[in-house]
Amino acid sequence: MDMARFNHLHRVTPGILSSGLEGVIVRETENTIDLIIDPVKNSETTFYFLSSDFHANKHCSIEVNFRYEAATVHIFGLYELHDKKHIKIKTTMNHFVPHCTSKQLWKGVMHDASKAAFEGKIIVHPQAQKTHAQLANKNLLLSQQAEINTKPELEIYADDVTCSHGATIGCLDDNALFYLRSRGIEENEARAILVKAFIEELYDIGDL
Amino acid sequence: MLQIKNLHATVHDTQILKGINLSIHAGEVHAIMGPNGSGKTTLSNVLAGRDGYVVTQGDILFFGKNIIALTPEERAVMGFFLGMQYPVEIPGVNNSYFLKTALNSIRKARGESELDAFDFMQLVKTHLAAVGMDEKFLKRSVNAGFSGGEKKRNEILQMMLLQPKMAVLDETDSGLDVDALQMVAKGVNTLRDASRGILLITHYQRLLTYVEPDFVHVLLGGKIVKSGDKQLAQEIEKNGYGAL
Repeated sequence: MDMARFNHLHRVTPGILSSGLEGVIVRETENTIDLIIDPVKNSETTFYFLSSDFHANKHCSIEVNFRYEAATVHIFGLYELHDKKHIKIKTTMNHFVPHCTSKQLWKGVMHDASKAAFEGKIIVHPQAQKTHAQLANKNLLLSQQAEINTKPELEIYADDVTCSHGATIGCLDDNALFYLRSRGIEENEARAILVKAFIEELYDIGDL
Repeated sequence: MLQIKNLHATVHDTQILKGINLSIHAGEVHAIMGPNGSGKTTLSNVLAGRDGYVVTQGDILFFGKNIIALTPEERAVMGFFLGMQYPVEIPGVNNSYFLKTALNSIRKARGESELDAFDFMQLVKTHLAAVGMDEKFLKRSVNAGFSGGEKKRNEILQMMLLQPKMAVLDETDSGLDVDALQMVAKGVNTLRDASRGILLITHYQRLLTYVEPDFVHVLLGGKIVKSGDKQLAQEIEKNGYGAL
């Protein structure tokens, strides 16, 4: 989705994007980007959100409202920042009705002194039995000054659901870096190869 | 070709190598045997230039040049290779891409032309048979999900591709069954060459049955305490390290 095209409240009809959505609202101001997504019954939709320095210093929120049964939404998100840029990303999955699935994999790559805050909220309302909700946030810190604050949250009010969430924060594997360098690959290129490998998991569509 | 002079080294501020002297000439196969904790892996990591290993005294001369200040990649370009005891798994990095990038990095640094994907595949395939590896290992991530034997074969494959002048193999035989051991030994033997030095670092004698060393040294407490020929290896096997 080319979010730069939307600079005011705008409701996009399914015919434009996909038949899996009743609507998508995109709202962008100088410092915020908000997406509100309503999938229809029996739909399956996948979104990729690729953030970069372009979205730096903004608050981004993505809200998915499951109002119709048996809808599935997959979200793959990436935020990669340099210098002193920062970003805040908040996702909210509202499971209002039964039998819906939300699966999210968010990956962050923080270079230099960049900072990111990630909040992943999943709310399973009382009627939303047989909800299946997954959230994973994996972060790679590439310098001592880089920072990530990650907060997955589950609010579950139904009792027959499957929900999981997890967050990891790590740095490049020293052993892997040494291995590549010992084979003649120059340090910066070796680091770039490992960062690329970290990011590319997003594009291997498989189980989250 | 490789001269280690009075080498002292620490890891995490602990003195592990306490004065190692060793000379390896082109065409020679040396073996260093030692019990756990004697400094075998420290020695191989110091030679490869790994971060965290600090040379406190002594010199390492490779082709007459002191390499202590050189990075691991610079040493590889000079022709140094370290076969690891526990080759690391690198998910997400394609094995073929890694091998090609390594080879081309070295070729480029030496002013040689880089191989394109087609030429590289042709080259790799000629070596795959020699190490008993199937082409499918090229499509997987580096060492990811490889068995112990497959990881060691991947090390030998890298040696065949990169054609190092000095190869240090750190406990290449550990964790291998007899078949894998023989296959690895065969690979090492094909790399024996008048222009190449090989250093086998090992705990057990069994690899040395298949790859016969010209010289055997015993490492104890961070120092080489005895040197001899392949008979020394058999003595150790019979009497243990305590007998020395």
